[in-house]
Amino acid sequence: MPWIFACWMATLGPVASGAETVATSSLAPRILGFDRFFGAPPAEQAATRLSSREAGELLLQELNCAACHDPAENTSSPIRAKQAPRLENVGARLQPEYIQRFLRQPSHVKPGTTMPSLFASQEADLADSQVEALTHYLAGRRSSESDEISETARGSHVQQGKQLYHTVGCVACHNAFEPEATTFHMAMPLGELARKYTLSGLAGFLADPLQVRPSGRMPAFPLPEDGHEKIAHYLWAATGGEVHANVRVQVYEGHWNRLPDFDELSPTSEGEVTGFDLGMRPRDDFFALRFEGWLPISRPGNYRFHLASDDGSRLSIDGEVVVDNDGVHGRHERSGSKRLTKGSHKVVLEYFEEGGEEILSVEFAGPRLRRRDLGGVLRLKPAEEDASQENVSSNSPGMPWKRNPELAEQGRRLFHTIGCSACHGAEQDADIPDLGTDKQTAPPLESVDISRGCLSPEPAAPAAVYHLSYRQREVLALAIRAQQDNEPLEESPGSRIHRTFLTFNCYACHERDGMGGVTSARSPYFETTEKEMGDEARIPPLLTGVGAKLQAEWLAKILQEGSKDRPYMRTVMPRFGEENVGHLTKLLTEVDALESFDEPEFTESPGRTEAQGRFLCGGQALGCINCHTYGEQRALGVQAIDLLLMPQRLRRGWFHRYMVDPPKFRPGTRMPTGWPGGQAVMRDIYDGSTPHQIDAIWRYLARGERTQPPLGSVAMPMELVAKQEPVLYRNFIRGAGVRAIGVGYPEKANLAFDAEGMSLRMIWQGPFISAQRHWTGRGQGSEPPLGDNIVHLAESPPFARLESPGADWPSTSAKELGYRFRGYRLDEQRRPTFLYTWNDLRIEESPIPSVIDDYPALKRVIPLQTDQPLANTWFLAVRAENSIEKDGDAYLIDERWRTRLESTKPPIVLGNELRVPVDFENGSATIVQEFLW
Amino acid sequence: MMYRCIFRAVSLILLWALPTFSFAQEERYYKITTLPIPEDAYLEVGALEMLPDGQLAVASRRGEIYLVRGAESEDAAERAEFTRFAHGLHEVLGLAYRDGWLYLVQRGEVSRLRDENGDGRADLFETVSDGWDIGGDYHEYAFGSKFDRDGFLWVTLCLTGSFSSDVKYRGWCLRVAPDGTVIPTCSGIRSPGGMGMNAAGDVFYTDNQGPWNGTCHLKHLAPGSFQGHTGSLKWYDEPSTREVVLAAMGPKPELPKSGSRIVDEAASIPELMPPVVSFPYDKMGKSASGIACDLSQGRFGPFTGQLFVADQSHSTIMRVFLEKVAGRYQGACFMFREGFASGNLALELTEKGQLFVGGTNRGWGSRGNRPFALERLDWTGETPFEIHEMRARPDGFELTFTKPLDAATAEDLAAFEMTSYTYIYQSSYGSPEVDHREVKIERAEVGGDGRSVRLFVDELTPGHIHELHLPGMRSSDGKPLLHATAYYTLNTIPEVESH
Repeated sequence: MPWIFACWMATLGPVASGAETVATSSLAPRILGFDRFFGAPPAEQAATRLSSREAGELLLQELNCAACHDPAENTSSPIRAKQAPRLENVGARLQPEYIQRFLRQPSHVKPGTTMPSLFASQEADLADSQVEALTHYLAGRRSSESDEISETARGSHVQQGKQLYHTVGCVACHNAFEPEATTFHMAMPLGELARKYTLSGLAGFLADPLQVRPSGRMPAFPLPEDGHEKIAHYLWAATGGEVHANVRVQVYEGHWNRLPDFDELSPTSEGEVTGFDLGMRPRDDFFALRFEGWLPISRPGNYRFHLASDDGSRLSIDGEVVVDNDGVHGRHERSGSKRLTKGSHKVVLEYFEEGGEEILSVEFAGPRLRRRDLGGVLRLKPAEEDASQENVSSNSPGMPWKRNPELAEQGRRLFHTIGCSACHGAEQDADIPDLGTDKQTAPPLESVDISRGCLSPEPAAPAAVYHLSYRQREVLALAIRAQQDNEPLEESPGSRIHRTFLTFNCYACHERDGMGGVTSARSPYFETTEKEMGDEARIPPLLTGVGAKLQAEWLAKILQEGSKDRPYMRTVMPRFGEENVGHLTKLLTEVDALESFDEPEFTESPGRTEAQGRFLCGGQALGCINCHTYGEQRALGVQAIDLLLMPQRLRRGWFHRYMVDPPKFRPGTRMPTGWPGGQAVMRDIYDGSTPHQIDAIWRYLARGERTQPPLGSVAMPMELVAKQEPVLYRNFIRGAGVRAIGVGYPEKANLAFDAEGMSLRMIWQGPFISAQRHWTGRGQGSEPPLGDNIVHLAESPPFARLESPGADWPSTSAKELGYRFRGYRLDEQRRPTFLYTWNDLRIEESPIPSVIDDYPALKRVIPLQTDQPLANTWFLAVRAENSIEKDGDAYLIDERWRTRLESTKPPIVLGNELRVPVDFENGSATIVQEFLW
Repeated sequence: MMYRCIFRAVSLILLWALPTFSFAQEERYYKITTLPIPEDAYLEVGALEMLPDGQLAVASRRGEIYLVRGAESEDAAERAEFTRFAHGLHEVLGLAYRDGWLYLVQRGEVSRLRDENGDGRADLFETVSDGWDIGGDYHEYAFGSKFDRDGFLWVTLCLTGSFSSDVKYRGWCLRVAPDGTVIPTCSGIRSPGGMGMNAAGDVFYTDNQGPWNGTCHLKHLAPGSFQGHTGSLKWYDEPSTREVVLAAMGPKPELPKSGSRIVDEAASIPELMPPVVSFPYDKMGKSASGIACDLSQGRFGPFTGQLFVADQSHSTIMRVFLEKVAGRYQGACFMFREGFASGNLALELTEKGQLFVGGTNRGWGSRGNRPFALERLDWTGETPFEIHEMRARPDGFELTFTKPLDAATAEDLAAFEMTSYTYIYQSSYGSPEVDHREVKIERAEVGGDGRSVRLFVDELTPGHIHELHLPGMRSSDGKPLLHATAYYTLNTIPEVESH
């Protein structure tokens, strides 16, 4: 028997209580740095209390007093005062009714706001009429003439948004609603978001708050996919926004290649949901859903619909198929259009899911309607049966908003005369009205009377009413007086860092030099996916000494873009804006500098040093990969921060010091050391030299993905081992093409020959290759070498005829140049000789492995035969990435490896190529090339 | 998509119950012998070839070649000896012997191997031809045939994935001349599972359900033909191939219309070659693979000249009878033998009448749950009661049987049931059965030889698979058919009776 889904109802805690019930004292502007370190400090924070002067300066800056009162002097502080929100598009973002209420009594509508009231001390009638005029002006400020359409928040978005809101870091500054409504001592009020914003306006704001609030006090969170939208849906619903079932759904189970004829099936269940929600699916595969709802259209015209799904779907309106996206497929989007008349239109969306991912999204756009989710605007019933239809064109519960141009013009004038534009800026590209003597001006800061105006306990017009608390007035007065008396404020790099941290509330998440850090009340909202790692996986890092730890570029990048370098940490480092916090890079670098550091010197080739570093990271040595990820590769135990990020993030000197004593830099870390007391545990590597071992790890990691992951980091690979005889492996080998022939020799030298390009493409040492990728499953992808010290050789065909020695080496493919791969022959030791021809030239290439000074080495002997010896034939021995230097009887390539050549005529170095002239004698020639690396 | 197929294997209820007697019955007529693969070998069989010296060459997906001595012997299960002849090759899916060389088809080339120093291992690996490209997609398999009457090897090249031909000649059949040059031979291939020749030396391959293939098929690689998948047709236009293709194939065929039926499209696209036999999805396997022809002069039982086609997913062997109607092959398929140990891929039916079956289920699951297997199927000498041949007639079908019939049941119309249906010919993946029709059998006449039945039906539908059930049919000694269902792919209704 089908069961009915109950209408989804928001079960969220209350957020903003009514303005009337808020005590006057709590109307005071909230400035979190002030509240935490000066406002009402618990006893234990006495040591980190701000001085009254510091607190007053912070308020001056955050209330932007200088916007009206010209400052005494231009301070050299890099911190900019907090600007008011930009209002260019405020009419599209906010609801007119809210603008009106807020302007009239800002602190009552949003307790804690730093927006002062300009009407508090005016007569009610005048205030009301001015506010109305301003509202008409502001509601008309929008970049596009688009209609608003009533939307409902999606149930699934609300649920996911709730999770995001409480984990990504919003709660560091705002109140929590889960598991129970919690009002923190220091919290920025959210206000009545659902009455203030349109749903899409809120989502847009959260996606990039700096657009509207350029001062970065509300930072932007880099969230995946539609995270901002989800948080918006949650906050909207949590503050009283509409969340009601608006679509009927029928659920079917079965197997289909294409959408079934739903009329011939009986649903296994049915119900009502918010939007095109897949929440009612009975399982993740083999089901189908049929949604039905009514689309209210107030503006007739052509509407375009975009249907994306995995697997198939079909959208019909009024019985006509508008978009057909049927069949089994991955996420695929199709679009279609339909002309719609004013009124309600029946929407039917059919969808089925066979296997794999399940995705369904429908968006639409139309005349004066931006592209948006269709599911959110539907209704359960057509307009005539649904009274709420009357309000389709407006979000306000009362009358639809109608803009009065006359009032708007009055408002525009007021905006400039009563002081709004001082903080919010003037309208761009529009004439500022001739204000005459109407414009009100405030005295400059250096001459204000600190007992009057805004600072008076009962401010009167034209002063703005901030509802300042007694302590706020006190410290503001103190700071202003100090400025008037030219008492200097401490100006040092350290104090600037501190003030920046205060301003942007960095201290909410980070501790630096004993200040700040996550408070115990908020600690539960800092979560991790790796509980085994303890607090260091969930609490954002200590920033004491961070300037010595992080490279300046990395620090700048974090400050510019935000970051998510620690995947296990649920909080995200948000973006505060380069212009707001960019100065921190230089300051932190300067203040935190460590003494300089001397890199140890190595005698072996760089590739061998990297191989030692790789060994040290691996499961048979220090086991870094037990806990740290390596690129995409997961660790074996907990999933600590990516090893490959280390040389990109960290300073080398800091790395050396940290590795020896991690808890010194990260108190409480579980990171062990391989050099307790500076003494290496691994005695047999570099004779136990700590700096050499740590630097080898650094060099290995700095080589990035051009080396191989540490061994022991994946389930044991299917390593192919050459015991008595060489092992051959023809397959897709990364770095050697799709027709690669890999050869692993018992000497532990390995190579990969490209049978398509006819060139020796790679040589490496140690383990040969893993067949795991190709010998399990279907074998998709290309397998890199398993060993160390990989040298990539030229991809070009090895021989060419050049008009002059300096001519460019041909870039055409070997096949097009006439090369033909002829196979290979195994000798008595089962070593292959590769056979290929180039026109009439017959070439045999015999790699010969050996061991020199305990390291594998390789040489190749290449005899050539031809019936028509041609002059100007050249052999390309090396194409370096960077450099070729003559080094005794050898050549040093890229400062990483050496090669030696035997030929009758001497090789030449041409740019980054080492070329050998081929000198035929009786139609034959031989080239020998040795590789030492 | 294979995930989907596997799931179906276990979840779908078969529309027609399989014979109630299991393969224990089949065992009585055809016996499976398991060859003893050594413990240190992982022999995911990709190709088989019987060598003149009686050794069986076995190629693996892991790129090894083993030679099996004693594979033909009575006690092969205990005594067969495996030695590794070569390794390090790239997923070998074709083996053929000629003039002292073992030819093989790797992903990227046709090669030939020889043991020059006589130590029992190959030491010369010559590249014969690499006239096609690989892009690095695992799907880009290359299957090879035996040598044809002109000394050519045929190669079928799987597309890049299911839909496209990203590099040269993916989705084509090529002939490789003895000097290594390649001749574009057929376009339109999707995902081959095996190749083989019939007694006349014509070359066939199996293609698998997917885009432009509603189900799995046996297809005839007639030179110049278009096998139905449009992904490969771009090589008619690409500058690197168009001249060679034009010379070998003529102009590019017209594009078929997706959502149509293949015989309807073939009516207007002369190059389009409808499948000679369709294997109805799930009823006759889900992943058609290797092909072998019985040329053993009766040593493999009564089916001389017929084709045997493996199915990887169901671990079965099916039997195919072909006839030519209006110049093109078409015919019927029947279940033949179930119960193999792994996913059947490669077949080799020797002159001595032994059918070697190689299996692997890596990447694509199979009913036989062993990761790999090498088995031999022998006729026990006892003749099963089976439909021998099924021919289309202008007004019905004619069936012959391996044993004399019980005339009473053979003419009883209740002994027959027939439906017909086809698949959508479309660019998206697979197709359900569509256009079902109950075919009314109006009359059944036993032939003068007592071993054949002529069926007259109300109407035949060209392009339909005609599915015939004979649950009541009995041999003269009262036995039911070992396999009582036949599927005839009726592309064309013959205009006149013919033999």
